[in-house]
Amino acid sequence: MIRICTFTVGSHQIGIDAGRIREIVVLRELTTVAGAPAYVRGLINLRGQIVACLDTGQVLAVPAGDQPRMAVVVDDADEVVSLAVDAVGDVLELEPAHVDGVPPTVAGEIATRLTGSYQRPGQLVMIVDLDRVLATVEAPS
Amino acid sequence: MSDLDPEILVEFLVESRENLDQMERELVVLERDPAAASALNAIFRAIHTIKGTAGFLGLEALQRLTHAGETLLSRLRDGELVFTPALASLQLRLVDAVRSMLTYIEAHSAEGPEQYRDLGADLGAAAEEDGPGTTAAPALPGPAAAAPQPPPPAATPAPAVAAPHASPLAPPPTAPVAEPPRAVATESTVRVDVGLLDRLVNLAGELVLARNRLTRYASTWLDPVHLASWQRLHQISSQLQEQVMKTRMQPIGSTWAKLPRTVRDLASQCGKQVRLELEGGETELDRTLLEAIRDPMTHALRNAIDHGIEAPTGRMEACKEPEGVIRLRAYHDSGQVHIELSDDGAGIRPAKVKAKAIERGVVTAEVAERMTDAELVRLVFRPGFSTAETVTSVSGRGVGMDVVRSNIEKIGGTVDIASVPGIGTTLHIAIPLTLAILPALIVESGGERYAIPQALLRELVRVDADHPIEHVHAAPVFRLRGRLLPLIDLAQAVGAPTSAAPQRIMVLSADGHEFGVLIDRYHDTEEIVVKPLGRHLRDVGQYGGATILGDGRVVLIVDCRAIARAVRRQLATPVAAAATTEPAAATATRALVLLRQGPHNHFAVPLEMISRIASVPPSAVTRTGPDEVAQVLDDLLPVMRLGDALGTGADEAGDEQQLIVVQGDDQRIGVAVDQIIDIVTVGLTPRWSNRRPGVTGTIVVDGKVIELLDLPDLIETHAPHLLRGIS
Repeated sequence: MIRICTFTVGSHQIGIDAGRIREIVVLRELTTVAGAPAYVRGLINLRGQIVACLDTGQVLAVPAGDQPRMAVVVDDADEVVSLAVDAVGDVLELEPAHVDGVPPTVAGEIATRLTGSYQRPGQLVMIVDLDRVLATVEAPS
Repeated sequence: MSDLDPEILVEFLVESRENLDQMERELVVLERDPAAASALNAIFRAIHTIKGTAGFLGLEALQRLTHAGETLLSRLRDGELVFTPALASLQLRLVDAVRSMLTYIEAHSAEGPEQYRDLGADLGAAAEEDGPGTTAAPALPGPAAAAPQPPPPAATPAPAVAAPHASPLAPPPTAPVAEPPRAVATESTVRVDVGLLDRLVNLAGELVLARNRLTRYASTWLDPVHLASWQRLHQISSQLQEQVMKTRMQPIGSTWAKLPRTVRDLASQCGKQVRLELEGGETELDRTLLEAIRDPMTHALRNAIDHGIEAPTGRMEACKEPEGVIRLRAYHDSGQVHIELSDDGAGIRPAKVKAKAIERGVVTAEVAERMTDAELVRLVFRPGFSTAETVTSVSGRGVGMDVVRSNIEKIGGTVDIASVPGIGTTLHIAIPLTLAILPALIVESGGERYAIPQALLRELVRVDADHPIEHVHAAPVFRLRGRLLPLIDLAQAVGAPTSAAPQRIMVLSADGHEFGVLIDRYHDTEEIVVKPLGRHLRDVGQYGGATILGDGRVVLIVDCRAIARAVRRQLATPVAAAATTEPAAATATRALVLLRQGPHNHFAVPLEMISRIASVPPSAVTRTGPDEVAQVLDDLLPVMRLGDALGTGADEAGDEQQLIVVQGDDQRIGVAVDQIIDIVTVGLTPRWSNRRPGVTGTIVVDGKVIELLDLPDLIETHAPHLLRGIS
C-alpha cells in the first residue's frame, strides 16, 4: 500500500509520495529573489526557517497556474524546500499493482520526471519522482 | 585494536593535540631560555600524558616513540643534559611525528605501519649522550639559577608548576608529573560539541527575533500582568542570548599556539632572527571569527617576516638589534576586536610602492602623484598589486594583501596599514565580536526591502533640488562635498525592477572604492540573524544571505562587494565598442570624462582628477581684470578656457557654460569647455604621440582619436597665476 498526496498544478494533477511531505502550508508572503534561477519563485518564512519555494510548473516542465496558493514542504538532501501548487487534493491509498507506468500520451520532458501514474475517473494523476526532480533542477542543463 | 572505544579515542585525540600544541609553544620558549624549568616541566607532562594514554589504549608504536622522547626529556629535566637548538629540533620532529600518527589513528582507528624508528633511535642516542650537567651543575648560567629559590617541599605536587623559575637543577619530585594537568579543571568544565553550541546560538538569536516581533504588539497591551510577564520575557531572552554567545567565545590566544613555531621555522628559512611577542591572547571573540581570521593573520605574519624584518646584517647596519621583533597585540575597544601586527623591520617605502603600483597598472601616474605617503602605502591592499612575480617560498603565493583585506571585509571588519621607513610597519585589523547577529539598515528599493550590513555603510544622503542626481549621459553621479560619486540603483544592481525616483543615497565603501547606492527610502536599523539561502540560490552572487524581519517577512541581505562590482560594470558598459578598437593589451581601466572643444576636437580627462562638473548660465562667468571668474553655487572660481589653453579657438556661445572643476593645491579652478559628452571606462593604453604640455597622449574610443589631458599640468603651463588664488 502506498500513500500519494494529490495536488493541482495548472491543468495537471500530480501525486507526491505522502511519506516525503513534511507539511503543507498556505503560501502567503513570498520574497522574490532577483537574479535567482527561473525555477525558484522566492523565499518563504517557515516558522523562522528560510525555505526556497520552487515553481512546480518549471521543475516539471508543465504549464503552471498563475497564482499558486499552497506550498508543499519536502526534504531535499539535508535542506528543506517547498513546491508551489495551486490546490491540494486528497490522499490516495494505492496497491502498487494499481499504479501504472508513465502513459505514452505523456510526452516530453515531464515523462522523465515521473515514477508512474494513476488513472482516476476523468483525471490522470502523474506521480512525481521527487529525487529526480530535485536533482534535475540542481544541475542546470 | 579495532575495539577502541570511539568516544575515548576522540577524547584522546583532542587532548593529545592540545598537548602537542603546548609542547610546541614551550619548546620555543625553552630554546630561547634553556633554564626555563616551567617550560621543560610542561613539555615533560605533555609527552608523559600522551605516552600514558597511548599505553592504556594499546597504541604501542606511539607509546614507544613518546617514551623515547620522555626519556630524553627526563635527563634534561634532571640537569644531566643541556638543552640545545639541536635537541629542540629533535623534539619538534617528535611533535610532528606524533601529530601525523594521530591523524592516521583518527582515520583508521588503529596505528599504521611504524615509520618513525629513525626518530626513536635519534631520541635514544641523544638521551645516551653524556651531558655536562651531571657534574657541572653550578656552571649552568641563567637567571633562574641565580634566583635563590628554596627547593620545593617534596610532598606537594604543585610547586614544580607553580614556581616558574625553579632551578632546572633541582629535580622536582617525580610523582607530580604523572598528574594530568587539568585534574582540578575537569570538575568545572564540560566538553561540548561545537555543532551543539552553534545551534544554541542560532536558537537564542531566533528567540530574540521572535521577542522583537512581539514588541510591536506589547505596546498596545494594557493589562499589567501581561506587561510584567512580557518585560520578564524580554530580560530573560536578552540575558540568555548574551550568555549563550559567551559559550562560543574563545580567547584569540587559542589560535596563536602554533605561531611561535611558525615564526621560528619561517625565520630560519629566510635566514633571519625573529622574536614574536604576543599580547592580549586572552581577548575573546566568536569562534567562527577566529577561524575566519586565522588565514589572513598567518599570511600577514609571513609577509612581516619575509618582507618586513631585514636580515641580521642589514639590521646591524641600520643600528638595530640583529633579532627583529614582531608584536601581535589584541584588545577590545568600542565593541570590536582589534588586532595589531607590528614589526620593527625596514618599513614600506612609499616611493617603491608608487613605482610598483604604476608599473602594475593599479593606479595611474597622475593619481599616484597626488597621493599622500599613507595613501601610497595603502595601495598594497589593492587587487593586482602583488603578483606571481613576487612569489617567494615563504610569503608570496600569487595572492597578496588584497586577499587579507577581502577576507577581513567579508566578516564585516576593516583593515589598515601604516609604515615608517626604517622603523617598521603596523597592520591594524578591526573585526566585530560576533557574526551571529549583525546590525543592518533596512532599506527599500523598487518596492522590495533589503538589509544592508552596516559595516560598509559610510553615510546616508538625501537627494533634493539643491543636491540633485546628475547624469553625465548614461552614468548617474552625485556631488558629495566636492567629489563625484558614481551611483547605482540598488534594485538595478541586484537585477530587480526599479522604481521611478529614488530619493536617498547610501554611501558605501567596499573593495577600496566609495560609491553611492540609490534607494527609495530607509527604515530602521535592525539586529538581524544571517541565514543561508540554500543550494538553489547559492550561485546568486548579489546576496550574503537572508533574514527574517520583525514582521515575519523574509528579506535579502545585500552583498555590498557585489554591488561594487556592479558599479564598475555599469561604468564599463558604454565603451564595449571601444574595447574592440583598442587591442587586449589594455590592462588598466580608467574612468574618463569625454569632452568636446571646438567643432571637431575631442578630449578626455581622468574622472579622478575632477572634483565636480558644473553647468552655469554664461552670465555667471564674468571678467575681473585679465581673468574670468565663474560663480558656481556659493563658490567663486577662477576660469581657464580650454580653447585658449589649447589654441583650438574661441568658445561656442550656448545657453549653458560647462565647467570642469579641478582642485589645485589650494585653489579650485573651473575649466570652461564646449560640451561634456560622456563618462566612460576604458582599458587604457595611451599612445605617446602628440605629447605636449598638458597633453599626455592619445587614445582611441569608438574609432575616434581622443587626446588625454592632464588638466593640472595644463593650468600650470598656461595660467599658473590662477593657481595662486584670487583675492
